[in-house]
Amino acid sequence: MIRKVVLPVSLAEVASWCVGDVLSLSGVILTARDLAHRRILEACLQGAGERGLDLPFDPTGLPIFHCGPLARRDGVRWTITGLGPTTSARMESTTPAIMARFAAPFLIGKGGMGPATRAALVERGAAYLAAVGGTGALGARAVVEVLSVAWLEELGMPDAVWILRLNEYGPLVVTMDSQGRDLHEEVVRAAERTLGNAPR
Amino acid sequence: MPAGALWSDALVEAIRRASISLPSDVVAGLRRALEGETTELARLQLETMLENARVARENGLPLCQDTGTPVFFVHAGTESPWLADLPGALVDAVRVATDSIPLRPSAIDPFTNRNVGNVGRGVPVIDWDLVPGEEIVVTYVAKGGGSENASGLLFVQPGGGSTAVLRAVLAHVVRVAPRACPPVVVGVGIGGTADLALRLAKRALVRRLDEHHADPSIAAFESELLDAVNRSGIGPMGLGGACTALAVHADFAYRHPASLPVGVALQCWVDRRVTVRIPASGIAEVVE
Repeated sequence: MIRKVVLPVSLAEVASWCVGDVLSLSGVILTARDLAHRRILEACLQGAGERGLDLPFDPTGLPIFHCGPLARRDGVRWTITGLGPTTSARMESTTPAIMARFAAPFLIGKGGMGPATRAALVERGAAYLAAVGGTGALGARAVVEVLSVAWLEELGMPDAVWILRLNEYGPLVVTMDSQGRDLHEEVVRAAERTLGNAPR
Repeated sequence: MPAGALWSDALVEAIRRASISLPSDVVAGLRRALEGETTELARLQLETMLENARVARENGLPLCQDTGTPVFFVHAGTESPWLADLPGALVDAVRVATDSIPLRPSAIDPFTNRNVGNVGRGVPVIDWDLVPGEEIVVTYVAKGGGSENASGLLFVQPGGGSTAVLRAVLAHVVRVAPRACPPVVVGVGIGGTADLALRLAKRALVRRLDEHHADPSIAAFESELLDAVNRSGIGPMGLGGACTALAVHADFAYRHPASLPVGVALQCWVDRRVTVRIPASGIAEVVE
């Protein structure tokens, strides 16, 4: 059973998501991966003074999708021809600070994250959703509109920040919930137990 | 050079086909894996993968937004009249395919982080194997970054033999598989030098899923390791399940008395590979 989520979501709704729940997503998200996370944090450091925060977009309250899309430009219009998750673990060191600053209600990616993000999710009542890796063609069909792209020249297509409106993007599995459960960790622990006990 | 133009087009066609169409043995492997899964989450992952393969093929869309690092495995006949033209043609094919499909620009200068497209220093990756004869056989593989990060170079105690090799590879694969878009294909290169072990592992990935090593003892090693990886329960996308790997392909080279390097290469379930045969006539054939 797929639960259809329409953005924006309240923290109360995110708190009701449990590990194993399957969702689809409609609404506005932003993509960010390694270089974008660093670039956003740099902007936060530089903008700490009276000049204020100098970002070409406002990430406040938007879900963060670990994704480097494939896009085609037709004149001034962008069409997304590939949309899917990249390995989230690479964003582990930068995620807690970004969540604290911009209050993302949830993250989307693949492969799960580490203890620092797990703690940040519990602290903020947020969640992590796992998309099915390698399904870029299906993902592309869920993109309704490219609202903006930032840092395209500087960071390149995959590392730029794309703000996209999606329609029923999924299936997404809740794999890290606001209660601190982490399916990725549970599967790895179980595998270690199984192999530890396996006859050689 | 009209005949040359013919086989250049075949290289571009191979890249296009690999990018949008999952090989039939991989589709069959995913279907078999689906039959073996009992949990709803594992089934959902595999069903979504199969649905994606259908949508990509029917709409001419790349399977994955990570269209990969372009890699060519070349068996180059030393008598081929096209040998001198080939290196340039492989690079040109990537350039043309990047614009025409299009592919995602995924070649980045490691010092400046500038993204230059898909052609840059060292990219596309070209693996050369000189063979007798007039024919050139080129296999194009799109190598995703997530599975590439799961590569390993292990140094096993030589005294431990194949049991030690199996244990070391198993421990490595179980640790990295969740981030490599499982069910994965595992390539293992045993022996040789460090670079050769990894090269053998990479070359082994090119085989069809059901193609075992010709040596029965290596084939038995492949089966034993595949069973062990799948007993881990890591499952599709690491969310738990019966199928963590679709196949294990191993190869070996003779080792130094002091050294037993083992290279491990993983390919994600989007196992994109297409082969082009270029005979002396230049009339190329694109085969799966």
